[in-house]
Amino acid sequence: MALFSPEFRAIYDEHFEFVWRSLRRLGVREADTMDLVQKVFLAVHVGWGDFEGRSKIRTWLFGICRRVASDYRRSSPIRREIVTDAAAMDLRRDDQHPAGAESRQRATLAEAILNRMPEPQRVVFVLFELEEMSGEDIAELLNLSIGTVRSRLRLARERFRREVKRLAAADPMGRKEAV
Amino acid sequence: MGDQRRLLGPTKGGDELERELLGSLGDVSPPAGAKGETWNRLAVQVAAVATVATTSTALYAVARSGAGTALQATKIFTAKVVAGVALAGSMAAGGGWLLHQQSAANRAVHPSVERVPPPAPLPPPAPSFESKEIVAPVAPVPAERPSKGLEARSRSDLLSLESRMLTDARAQLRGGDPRGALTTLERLRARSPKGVLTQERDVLAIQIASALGDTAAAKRKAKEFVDAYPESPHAPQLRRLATDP
Repeated sequence: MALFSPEFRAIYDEHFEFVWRSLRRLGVREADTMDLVQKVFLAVHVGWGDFEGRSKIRTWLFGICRRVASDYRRSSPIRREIVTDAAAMDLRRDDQHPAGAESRQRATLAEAILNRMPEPQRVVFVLFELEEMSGEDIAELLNLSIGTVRSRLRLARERFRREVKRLAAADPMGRKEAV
Repeated sequence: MGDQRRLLGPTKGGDELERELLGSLGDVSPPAGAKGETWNRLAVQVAAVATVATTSTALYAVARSGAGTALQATKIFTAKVVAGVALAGSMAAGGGWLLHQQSAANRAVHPSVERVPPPAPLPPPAPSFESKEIVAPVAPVPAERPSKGLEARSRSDLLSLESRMLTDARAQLRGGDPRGALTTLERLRARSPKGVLTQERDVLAIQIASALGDTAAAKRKAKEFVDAYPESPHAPQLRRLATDP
């Protein structure tokens, strides 16, 4: 008897990158992503027998990713705050950094803004804006109505815009160089 | 939602600053080799869980069947070994993960596997699934090298075989057949001299020695194990066992 079934291996092969990207988009740091991907697929391995196929496999996987990422974020609030504060400070000191660091700082800052969003808004925002999924696909993936997806996206965009303006206002001189 | 433009879409909704920030989050694809490495860790974790899971009931079975003073003393000794190993193994396979999660921020590597019995030194890996798949020794070496797919399957099968034979041996021990368990363990050693789950093998050998009444050998093996693997999750219990008067 093989340790893993061929079906499990096929799922792993097909969806590994999707799980990785989903976790990253859900706020998991790159250094921690491999551990959490492992955790997601361990859950898949254990729960495969209970998967009844009533939802798409990607919907099921994404649900596991959300739970795992949610636990991760809850377990590391201090780390997230450190990242957030560091990003804000980096924005103000950007002109002291070499150009190669700028994109990293921008990414850190953007992640910090996303991390401040309520998780339901963040998920919709990320799937729409970064993964370029359609509203209909997001609704199906998250098992939501299309109206709810629209509403969450609107709120997330407002929040994102507010945060960006706040940061820009806090450092009007640094905006051009920093961002 | 066709009426909503994406901030990063061709029509460029939002202002420049918003787009630049979002654009910086572009690529979050896994790095090269991550897929194979994650698979290996998953395999080790699942194998460890499989070998340890059945052990947790051993104490109950052994303790329930006590009779006769000498035999009972042996069984109590065995039960102590089994209980400790089951606890350590469970911590390694399950709780280790949680502990690892809490400390992951301080580590650049991903040592969740460290919490499970670490694999033995691996032989030079043959090219396979992303070149880093878990490798178990294959003897004798075939005259012709099989295809990459067959190699990967062979390695996966060997790990599976090791896990299954350890589970079988534990079941025999639990069922009151330590000699059968010893035979299974020896067969495993013959088929796969090194293997991946070496600590599990050693721990099982200690359990068997104890079940056969060879307390001195069990203590000696326990001491050897602790000396060889002082950081093993099994070590604390076996250390106590080795020094138990």
